[in-house]
Amino acid sequence: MIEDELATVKLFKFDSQVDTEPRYDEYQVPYQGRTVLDVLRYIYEKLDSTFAYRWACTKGFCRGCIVSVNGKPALACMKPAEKDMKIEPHPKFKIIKDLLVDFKGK
Amino acid sequence: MVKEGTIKTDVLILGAGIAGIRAAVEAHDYGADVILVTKGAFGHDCGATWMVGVGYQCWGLSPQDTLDVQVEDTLRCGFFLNNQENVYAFLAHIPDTVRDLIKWGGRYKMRDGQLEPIWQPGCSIPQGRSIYPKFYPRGPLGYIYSRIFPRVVRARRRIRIVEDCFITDLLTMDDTVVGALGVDLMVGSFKVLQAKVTILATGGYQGSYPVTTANPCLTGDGHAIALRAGVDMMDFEFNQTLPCAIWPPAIAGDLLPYRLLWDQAWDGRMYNSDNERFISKWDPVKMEHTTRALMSRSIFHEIKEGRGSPHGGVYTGVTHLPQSFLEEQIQKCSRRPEFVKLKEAGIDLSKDYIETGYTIHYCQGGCNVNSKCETDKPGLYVIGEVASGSKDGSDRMMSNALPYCMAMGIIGGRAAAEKAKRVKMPQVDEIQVERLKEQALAPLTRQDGVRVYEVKPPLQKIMAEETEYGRTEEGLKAALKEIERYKEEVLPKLTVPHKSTRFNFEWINALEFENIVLVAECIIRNALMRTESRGLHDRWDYPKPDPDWFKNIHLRLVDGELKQWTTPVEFTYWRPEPGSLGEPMRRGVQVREYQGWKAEPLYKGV
Repeated sequence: MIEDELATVKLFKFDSQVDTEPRYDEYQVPYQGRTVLDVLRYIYEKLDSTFAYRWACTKGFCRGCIVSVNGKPALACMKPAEKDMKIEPHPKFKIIKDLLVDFKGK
Repeated sequence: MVKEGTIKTDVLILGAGIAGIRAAVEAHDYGADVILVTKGAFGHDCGATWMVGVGYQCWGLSPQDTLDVQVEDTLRCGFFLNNQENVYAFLAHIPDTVRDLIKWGGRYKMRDGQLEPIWQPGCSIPQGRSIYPKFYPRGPLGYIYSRIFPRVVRARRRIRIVEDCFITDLLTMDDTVVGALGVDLMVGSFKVLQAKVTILATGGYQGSYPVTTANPCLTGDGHAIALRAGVDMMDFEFNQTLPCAIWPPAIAGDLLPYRLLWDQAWDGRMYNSDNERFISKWDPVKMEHTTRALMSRSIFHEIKEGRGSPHGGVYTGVTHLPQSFLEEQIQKCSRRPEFVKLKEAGIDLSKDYIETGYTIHYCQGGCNVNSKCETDKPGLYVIGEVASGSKDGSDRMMSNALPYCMAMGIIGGRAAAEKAKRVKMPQVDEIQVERLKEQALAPLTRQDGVRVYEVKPPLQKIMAEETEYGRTEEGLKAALKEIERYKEEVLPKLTVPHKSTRFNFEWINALEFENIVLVAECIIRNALMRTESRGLHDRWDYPKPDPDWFKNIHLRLVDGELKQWTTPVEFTYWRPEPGSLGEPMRRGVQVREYQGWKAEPLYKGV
């Protein structure tokens, strides 16, 4: 089934309280017909519930889920998922933990 | 360890959407120290405020559109079930709230120095009453609000914003609310928020349904903590739905069909599979410009009676309009995301229909408040969507939500600040705090059990199937049995595998789920009790409004059991036209003049 094709997702991991260097964890997840946020929620709910990320409205209004996908800033809830993705926090903001940032700036 | 995480303030506001923000500003300007709490990031959180589309009903844009006219319209939409004292008291502030919004940086369509109105369903003034964004159809208001509101708050020094703080419960002492207990996600510890006055502004419980046009992170937290504190709650049987797209999948859940229907520039029409405008059976006069409740109910009944579309909806189309006009309209909107997606899906509005269903949009159940936003618990004020006070009756008029939030923010914020000057800082019951902490930590301490992500979707499915339209006694009883099972078997087994308390969203989702189950029980119990169909409450076995049901159903949680009772509606200022049961197409009869304070209408000067 086409639904079962898996994407390779490299996820940025960094805890500002503990770590000095970020690391990337890799996950295999179904991605077709899903947004980046769907993929993140899939990872969180089924594979690894230790990372931190934000999301709220799911419809592109609140901009809480802003991340960087393959180096380009994107709203996770609006961007269709791709076969190879490196998901990192948005570079404009200070990282608190993993994808979760402080919106008040650097 | 409790002392470490204690913060004290005059006014504690839970929820940082438009209602909470307006209350914070008002309380601050009246001299109070304010703490504004949100469970997400301020301005990017779970509020539905950031998702606002177009309207804001505001009386007084023209001399003939008085407060009385907007009140009558509101009551007609609400099937005359509203608390009229509250409707007048809140709506009286509307012109002033618009002055605030403009002062803060909201930009609305103007003509010759006056705000230009747009017509929206429910409004009996032909030229309309809603103010709308300057760059409409581009530039939705929610985006503008998410830019300007945080700035307004941050400019006020004595408002302290507490982000990423999930409130687990209200703290009480001798029946008085003395603050709240929260989980500070940033640090992963509890926070005792001690306050002279607490204002609840947490929004709705749309997250108890699988699909919502609003924010799925609205999980009825405010409703649940108020219930657990023993507050008088009401109107849970009325949950507003809106027509939304269900096909093509690219725009599923989008409100585009609804916009085509209400916006007079489009004059959209709904058809069933026989190509019949079925709405004529429900509202032959206003047709598709009828109330939201009648639209959704008529869609449900068409589908149920076998005249639906292939994907389980009805059709919305604008193909009756001249082609040249359509091309121009489509061109104007071509950059909006839903039009881009439509084009990609190969749908051309000038030829094709959109398949339309409905989904949950707004929750009318909430705390019973009076016209000062006070509850029956001293020290607790409730504003916005989580406050019912039957301000909406059995169906909210379109674009009345934000005006209510702003007005209640002013009223509640001012009342809270004034009260905070009169009372001393109350004591917190340390034993209660320890007990509540233990309860909140329970899912983390369990080793085995079920995860919230396994048990939440089935409950949401039951809610969508049994508590939207065509409710039946049988279905509701089955749903209630399922809720009982959840309470006895699922909730005591909820577990969170990852045990850290810092940014552990699964833990928070588990606590939210407990709130959802409690709210779901309220919805089902009220829906079972109301043996009629009125507004948003649609019973298959009782299809007509009943004159004996000019009553509101209240709920209170007493020793873990929900107690229900009814209070009759008082027709203080308006009563339904003789021979009518409050149907929106019938008018009201004014029985008394409103003598209270009201703002200067906007036509006299913005």
